[in-house]
This record gives sequence, structure tokens and C-alpha cells, in this order.
Amino acid sequence: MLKFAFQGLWRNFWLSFITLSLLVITFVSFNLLVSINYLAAKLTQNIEQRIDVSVYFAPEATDEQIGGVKNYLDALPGVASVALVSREEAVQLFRERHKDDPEIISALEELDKNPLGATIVVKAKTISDYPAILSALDVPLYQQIIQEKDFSDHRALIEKIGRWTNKVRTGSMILSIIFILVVMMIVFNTVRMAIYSHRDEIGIMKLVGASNWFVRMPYVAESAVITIFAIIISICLTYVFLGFFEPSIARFLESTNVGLISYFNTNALRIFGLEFILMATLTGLSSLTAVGKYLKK
Amino acid sequence: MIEYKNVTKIYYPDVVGVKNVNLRVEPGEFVSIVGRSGTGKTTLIKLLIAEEKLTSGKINVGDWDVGAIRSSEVPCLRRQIGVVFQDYKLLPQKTVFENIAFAMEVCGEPLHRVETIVPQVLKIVGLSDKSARYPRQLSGGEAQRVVIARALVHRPKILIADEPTGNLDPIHTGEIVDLLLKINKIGTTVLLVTHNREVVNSLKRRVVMMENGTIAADHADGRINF
Repeated sequence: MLKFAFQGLWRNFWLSFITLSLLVITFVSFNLLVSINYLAAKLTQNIEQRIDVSVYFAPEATDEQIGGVKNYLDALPGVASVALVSREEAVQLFRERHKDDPEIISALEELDKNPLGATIVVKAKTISDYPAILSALDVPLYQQIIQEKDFSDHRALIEKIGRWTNKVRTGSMILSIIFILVVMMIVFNTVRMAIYSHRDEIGIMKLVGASNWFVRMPYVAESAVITIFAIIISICLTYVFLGFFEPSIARFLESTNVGLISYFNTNALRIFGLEFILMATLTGLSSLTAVGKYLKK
Repeated sequence: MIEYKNVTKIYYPDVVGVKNVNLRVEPGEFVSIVGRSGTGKTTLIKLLIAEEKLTSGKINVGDWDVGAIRSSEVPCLRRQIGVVFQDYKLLPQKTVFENIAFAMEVCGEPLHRVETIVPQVLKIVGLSDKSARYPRQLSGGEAQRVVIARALVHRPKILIADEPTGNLDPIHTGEIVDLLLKINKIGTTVLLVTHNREVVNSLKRRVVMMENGTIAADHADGRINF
């Protein structure tokens, strides 16, 4: 059966080559889709990690009051972490930040007491938890001791990235679907042409009692062989592209390690296995339909 | 045993292939089916190997009810019926040996059986010395003998020969008829479809004459005028 499948591939070399090329393009576009999803998630995660709420206390606030606010925040369900920067640490950080600016440092020296209050930095579990945390602090009890709340809101940027990612994702998906349909049509017609060129053999096969499965299987095997070659080529191309583009992506994202290659390494079986199963099923069905139509005649 | 009971085949829209045919062929018989072109001879054969569907009636081949056969059972039926056509239907790019082996390979026969049986059938048809030749290197009679050898590889109980001598000269025709008689002698039922009067008369076996899709005559003595 495999002998007949390879014979078929060789006899219809150019059609097999076109089918193979389209399958490779489809697989690479799938992998592009996977990369975009990964990068979008990574980018969003990076930005979300940078978001926090800083609660600045008045210098008069006592340690006991500040500790009370910290405990209160710790108990809130949406809070991931609460970090306290004491008045002394705050002034130390201020000095370090402005060490190259002698005017500010001398102004600070002229003051007889620490002008800065303590600060609490709150990180939420998810970005949607911040509004609840901010409103939880809007209670009369804390209004006298809390001087300011600074919410470095990156939500607009995240939404923008989300919209952009969705557009690219939709575009890639439409392209992939078009490629799949084209591949299916080409496989269908490749098999029909192969059947036409083998019509004498098929006629003899039927005449001498070959089962319908035996007539069908070389064509299904032919599709499977093309799909195997296509997935191997597309894996090689994907890794070449990743190796080439990952440093540029890392520079763009200002990150030392994007982890795209290691993501593909870790999930290789899942990504390429699913792609192969999906495409082998579709091309196999396409071949079966094409031969089935002929066998019914 | 082959039995046609009130068999009718109408081709779309209303062309009569065969009409109310009743025919019984006993195991080991040699029956010639004769008649002019378009009288339904080939339709009878196509119905027998389930290549065409019955319009009405019943055909039994041994235990098979051909009219009610499932498509998955057709290959099994065809392995019990060897078929030889006028156009040899040999694959030009395969040798004589490979053409015969092909019929076994596509039915999933193991290689050792192919290597045993193909030389045996080549010996029966007298082509052992030409197994490496290609169809284009054979005479018409030799090509037809290869087709008969191919039809024999599954050791069929029935051999159908549809105009096997149509393209052959009298000498090669005689060789093929002798071969069919030889195959019949070893117990195979032979149905010979022909319009060659000399062949039929020389055989002196049962003759069924078709006319307008019906059986016009059925003679056991083997002499008929048509």
C-alpha cells in the first residue's frame, strides 16, 4: 500500500509539490498565530506586573495607624501583596533618587525634621481588582492620614495591546482558514487527477476483488505522507524564523528573554502534534471523499 | 451453481438490458452465451459480478444473493469469479509476472503466496518462459492468456470470458478456446460470451442464445445458428 502511495506521489510530482508548499504555508501561519498569542499574553503580563497603587501617608500618621491600614489591605480579597516603606526608608530612597541634584539634597538638609510620610505599595491579584482596593481606602477613618493615592494605571495601554492582538489574531485565523480550504481543494483535486491517471489500475483492482479500502488507502497514505513532510519542513522553518526574529522581539519588548523558542520547545508535542492531527484528518477526509466519489461510479 | 430468476435490468430512462431472464448453470458446466451485439450478453455478466444493479429478479451465485449483496462483500464475490474481457486490461508498465502478481497484491496476499501461485498459473496458460516480458512484447493470444492467468490466481469457482477471442486470429482463437476447456476440465465453471459461431459450434457444449434482452434458445448439444 505504501509502495502505491509513494508511486502516486512521484507520478504527480508537481501537484504533490504544490500541495506540500501550501501545507507548509498553512502550518507556518498556524505557528505565527501561536507566537502572536504567546507574545500578547507575555506583553500583557509584563505590563500588569508594573501596575501598583502607592498610598502616601501624612507625616503625622503614627506607625500604629499605618500598621492598621496595612493589616486592613492585607485582609482584602483582591490584594496580592502589601509592601510598607517607612518614613526613614522613604527619605533614604528620596536621597538616593536625587543624589545627583545637590540643590534638592541641601533643601532636604535644611529641614529640621523628615518631611516625608510612610508609603504602602499595593499590588492586586488582577488588574480588575484595583478599583475595589482604591474605593476600600475611601473611608472617613483613613482620609485624615492618607495624603495621596497614586494609581499608575496602564489599563488603556493593555486594552490597546489587546485590540491590536485581536486584530492580528483574527487576520491570522482568517488566513489559516483560507489556507486550509485551499489545501483541502488541492488535495481533493490532486487525488481526482491521480485517480484519472490510475483509472486502469483501479479498474483492474476492482475487477480482481480488491477491497474498497485497499483502493482508497494508497490515496489516504499519500495525503498522510505529504502532511508528514509538510510538518517536518514547517517545524524547521518555524525554528529558523524564531531564531532570527526573537532577538529583535526582545529588543522591542525591552526584555532580555522573550522565551518564545523555549515556549515552542516545551509545548512542541502539543502544538505540532495537534497541527498534524488536524491537517492529517482534513487531508485524509478530502482524499476519502475524492476516491469515494469515484468508487460509487 | 449460478441461477438467474426473472432477472430484468432497465438502464435509465427506459433502455432494456435484459428482461425476465431465467437461467441455471450447474457447477463445472461450460456454457456459451451467444447473440448479436446489444442483445444483453454483457449485461448478464455485469449483473453477475455486481457491476450493475438489478432492476428486478434474483441472481444466486453459490450462497451469494448478488442482488442483495453489500458493497463490502463485492470484493469477496469477485475473488470467486474470474473475469476475462476482450480488451486485455493489462498494465503496460508491468511485466507479465507483475501484472498477474498485481491481482494478488491488491487483495493483500502475502509475498510468498504470490511467488508460489503466479508461476503455477503461468504454467497452466503456457507462458512460463515469457514472465519477464511486457504486454507490448506479446501477441494478442499471449496477452489474452495473461489475462486468463490473472483471472485464475484466486482459484475462482467460475470463470467468465467476455468475447475473449474478439481481437484474435483463428489460430490464437483456437489456443484460447483450448485453454478455457482445460480450465473447465479441472472443475471450474466457464461462461463464454461470444458472437463467434465457429467457436461455439466447435465446442459442442451448452449454448444459450440471447435476443432483445431475453433468452431465445438454450441448446445442450452446442450447435446453433445466429
